[in-house]
Amino acid sequence: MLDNRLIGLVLALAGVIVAPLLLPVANATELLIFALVAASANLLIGWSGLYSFGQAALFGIGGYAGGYLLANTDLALLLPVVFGGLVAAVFAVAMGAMCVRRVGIYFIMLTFAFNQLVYYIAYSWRDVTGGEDGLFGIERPGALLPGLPEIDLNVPINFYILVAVIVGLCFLALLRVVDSPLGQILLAAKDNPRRAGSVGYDIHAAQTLAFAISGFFSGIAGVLYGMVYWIMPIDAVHWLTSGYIVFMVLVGGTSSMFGPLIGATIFILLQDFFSTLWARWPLLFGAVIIAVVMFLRGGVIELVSHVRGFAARRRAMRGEAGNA
Amino acid sequence: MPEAVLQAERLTKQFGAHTAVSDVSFAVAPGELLSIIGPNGAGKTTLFNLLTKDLTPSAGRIVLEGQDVTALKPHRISRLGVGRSYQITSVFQNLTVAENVWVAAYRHRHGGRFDFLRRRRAYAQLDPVVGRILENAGLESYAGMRASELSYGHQRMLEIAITLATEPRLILLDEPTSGLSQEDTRQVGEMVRRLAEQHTVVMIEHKMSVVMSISHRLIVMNFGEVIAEGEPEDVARNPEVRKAYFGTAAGV
Repeated sequence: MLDNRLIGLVLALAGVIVAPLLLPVANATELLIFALVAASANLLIGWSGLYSFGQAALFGIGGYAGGYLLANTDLALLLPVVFGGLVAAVFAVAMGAMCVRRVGIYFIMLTFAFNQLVYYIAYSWRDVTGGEDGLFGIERPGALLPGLPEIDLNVPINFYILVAVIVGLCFLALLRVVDSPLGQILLAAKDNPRRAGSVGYDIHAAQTLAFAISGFFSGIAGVLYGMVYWIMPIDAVHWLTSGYIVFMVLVGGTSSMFGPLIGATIFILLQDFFSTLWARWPLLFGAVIIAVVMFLRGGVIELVSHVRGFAARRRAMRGEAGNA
Repeated sequence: MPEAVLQAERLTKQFGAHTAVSDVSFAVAPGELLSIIGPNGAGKTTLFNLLTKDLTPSAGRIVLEGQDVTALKPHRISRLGVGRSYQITSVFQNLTVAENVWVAAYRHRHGGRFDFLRRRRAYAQLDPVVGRILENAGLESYAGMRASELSYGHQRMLEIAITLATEPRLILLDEPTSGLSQEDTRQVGEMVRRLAEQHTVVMIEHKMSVVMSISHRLIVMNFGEVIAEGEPEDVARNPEVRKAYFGTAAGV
C-alpha cells in the first residue's frame, strides 16, 4: 500500500512539473484546481458512497466568498483563500446535514436542489456576486500573509507554482483524512450503514463531517479558480460543473484519491485541448464515459491494478518455470 | 431481585393493519441467557429491531438498566452497551476481516470519535485487542482477507466477533446458528454458552438442540404475542407451545 502511494505521489509531482510545459499555463493551473475539487468530491463519492451533484455549489461559494475579499479588500492572499474554504465548509455542514438523511436518488436530487439554490442566489445577488456577468476585479495580492515579502503573481508561472503548493498541501491533507479513523468509519458506513449504526456510530454525523471537509477543500479550490482569470464566472456554480466534477471522479476512479487526479487531467485535456482542435469535442466526453462504464468500471486507476496483476502473474509463472 | 438489565413494557409494532409485535413485556436479569423461540413470522426479529431501535415501536417502552431508552437512536442504544448480531449476516463486506473488528473496537475504546487528523496506525493499542477477538473467533488466519471472501460459517463468526468487539453488557443474538452445518452449530452453541458466563444474552434461535441445552429461560412467541415463558423443561411441556409448533396439542 505504502509503496503504491509513494509511486502515486511521485507521478503526481512529475505531472505538476510537466503540465505547464505541455499546456498553456492558465490551463495547467485550472487542471490543478479541478484535481483538488475532484479529490475532495471523492471523499463523498468514493469514501462515503454519497453521489453528490452539489459539489459546484461548494466550489462556487468558496470562490465568491474569497473572491469578494480579493476584489474589495487588500488582505494578504492566504486569508481570503482560507476564508473561502471556511465559508464553503459551513455551508457544506448545512447542506450535508439535510442531504445525508436521504439515500439514493433522493440524496442526489437534494444535492442537485442545493446546487440550483446557490446558483439562483448567485444569479440574483448582483451586488456581491456580479450576477450573470460574474464577480469581476479579483486580484492576486503579492503578499501571501501580512508582513511577508511580495511575489509578482501576475507572472503566470509564479501563480502556477503557488497554486501547485496550495493544492499539493490540501491533497496531502485529504490523504491523511482517508487514512484516519474517520476514513475507515466512512468506508464502513458506506458498506453497511445499519451495522455501522448498530456498533454505535452516528453515521449522519460522520457523513456531515465528510461534507464539511470536502467543502473546505472545494472552497479553497474555488478561491484559486477565481484568481486564474481574475473573475468568478457564474458558470462555476452551475449544476453542469457539478456534473463535470462527478465525471472526473468516476472516469479517474473512486477507489483511490489518485483516481480523481487522472480524471481531472482527462477532463482538462478534453475541454481545453481538444476543444481547440475539434468543435464537437463534447462528443468525446460521451465516448470516454461509455468506454469507462463498459470496460473499466473502477475508472482509469483500475488500469494500474490490471497491469500490476498481469505483471505479478507473469513473475509467478516465470518463478514456477524456474523451479520446474 | 436485582434490577433488570433490559425491560420491555407492552411493546407493539404495527405495519399498517398488521400487528407484527403485540403487547410484549418481559425482563432480562443480569447474567441470564434468555432464548426467544417461535415459528417463522412470529415477530421475533421485529422484536429485536424494536429493542435496538432499528424500528420505532408503535407503542410501549424500553428500559435499559432503569433508563427509558424508547426515544433513542440505534447508535445511542449501542453506546449504552447493547450489542447485536443479525440473522442475515451483516458484516462490512468490502472491509478486511481485521478492519471489520477494528471499526467496532475503535468505537468502544475511543468513544467513536471522528478523528480525521491522525492515522489509523496511531491507534496501535487496538491491534492486540483486535488480534485477541479474531483469535477467539478462530479467524486470525483470515485477518487480511476481505469479509466477502470468507465462507458462510466464518462470516457468521465474524458477525458475532464484531458484536463482541464493542464489549457490550447485553448481547442480542439473532439466530446465530442459522444456515450452519451440524458441526458449526455445535461450535457456535458452545461459544454462546461461554459468552453467557460473562454477559447477559438474549438469543433468537430455531434449533431446539441449542436452545434446550444452554438457555436459562425461554420466551415463546406466536403471531406477535408471547404465548409462554419459563424454564426450558416447563416450556417444552406446555400444550400451547406444542400446538404452535406442531399444530396439535397431542404429544409427539
